[in-house]
Amino acid sequence: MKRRGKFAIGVLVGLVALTIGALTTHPLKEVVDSSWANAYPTTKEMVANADAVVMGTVVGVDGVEVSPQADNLIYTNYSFRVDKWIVGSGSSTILLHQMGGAVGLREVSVPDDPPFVVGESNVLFLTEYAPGKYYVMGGPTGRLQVQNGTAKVIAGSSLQIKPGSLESVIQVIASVKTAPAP
Amino acid sequence: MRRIPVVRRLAIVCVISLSLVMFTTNQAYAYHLEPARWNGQPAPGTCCAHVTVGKEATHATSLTAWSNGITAWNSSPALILFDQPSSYKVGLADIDDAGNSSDGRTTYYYLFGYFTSMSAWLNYHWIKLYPLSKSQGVAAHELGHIAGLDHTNGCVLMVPDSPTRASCGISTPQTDDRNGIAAMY
Repeated sequence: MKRRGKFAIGVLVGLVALTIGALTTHPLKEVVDSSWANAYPTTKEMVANADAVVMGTVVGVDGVEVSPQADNLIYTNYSFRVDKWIVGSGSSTILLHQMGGAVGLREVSVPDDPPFVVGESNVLFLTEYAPGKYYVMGGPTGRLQVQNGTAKVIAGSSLQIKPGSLESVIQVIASVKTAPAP
Repeated sequence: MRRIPVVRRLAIVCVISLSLVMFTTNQAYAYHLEPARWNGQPAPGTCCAHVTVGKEATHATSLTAWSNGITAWNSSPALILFDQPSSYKVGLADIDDAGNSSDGRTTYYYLFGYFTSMSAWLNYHWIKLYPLSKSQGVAAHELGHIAGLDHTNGCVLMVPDSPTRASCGISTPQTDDRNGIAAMY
């Protein structure tokens, strides 16, 4: 009887270990693959379809929300400090609404469009979907990362823009904005 | 006349063959696969995998797009068929969400390399503005995800951007998309 009890405990411990192992290596994470409506290969098209193009820094997470739509998707809202309005105008801090995030035990990841990290600097092509509220156009395509004074596209971007100094990239975008129509 | 050594001859043959492959094939891109696929399907390269789907969309435009997307796959030589029984694994729904840039998306869970649950959505906010072929392209793209294909580049169904898909004139599975399916099922 004692031996049977020990065996049962052993099996139970083994099952718990296996479950923990399985969930560690294969987490029950909701993965989202998106088709992007407004991701364009040229700076000209991106600027033409953007409500705003800004340069600045992610300064905080403003909250996480579950969409009231039928898909119940999780969104994270970020506070973004705008250092320069390259196209358009607005306040010095705006809200960025982005797919993905965690609420309780539920976690949603969007591999193509990774979450912002507080402190990271970007040049962003934006759509204003509500006053003062923006989302990045075309997921990864509307998002240039600024590091050590250089701006470059992130993985998964369709935008064909040469990486360069932040000033030169801003100049390229600004020149497209001001170019006369053919 | 001086004979060329065997090793050098082999090298020349290799270089010429590689050049021919590079310049004659237009398959400059390659499919990518999701980290999971559907369990209980035939061996790779064998006809055909079956995935059960059900239309749950509320707008006529979305329902038409899903129907056209299913037809695009089922009438292609891809080794997969999307069946529509009354009880199904993947719901094909829609939303009307102005708050993001996504015109279609597929969400899934997986465990040990196999899908455990999945849903797909068309965003009516965007597709209501699209011509039929473009909305079919989005639906067929999401069905590609449902099959287990990930995004890739080029003029293929699984390119992530709808403007690129539309400018390439693509709304049905291409050779590269079908090759991806054949690698899984």
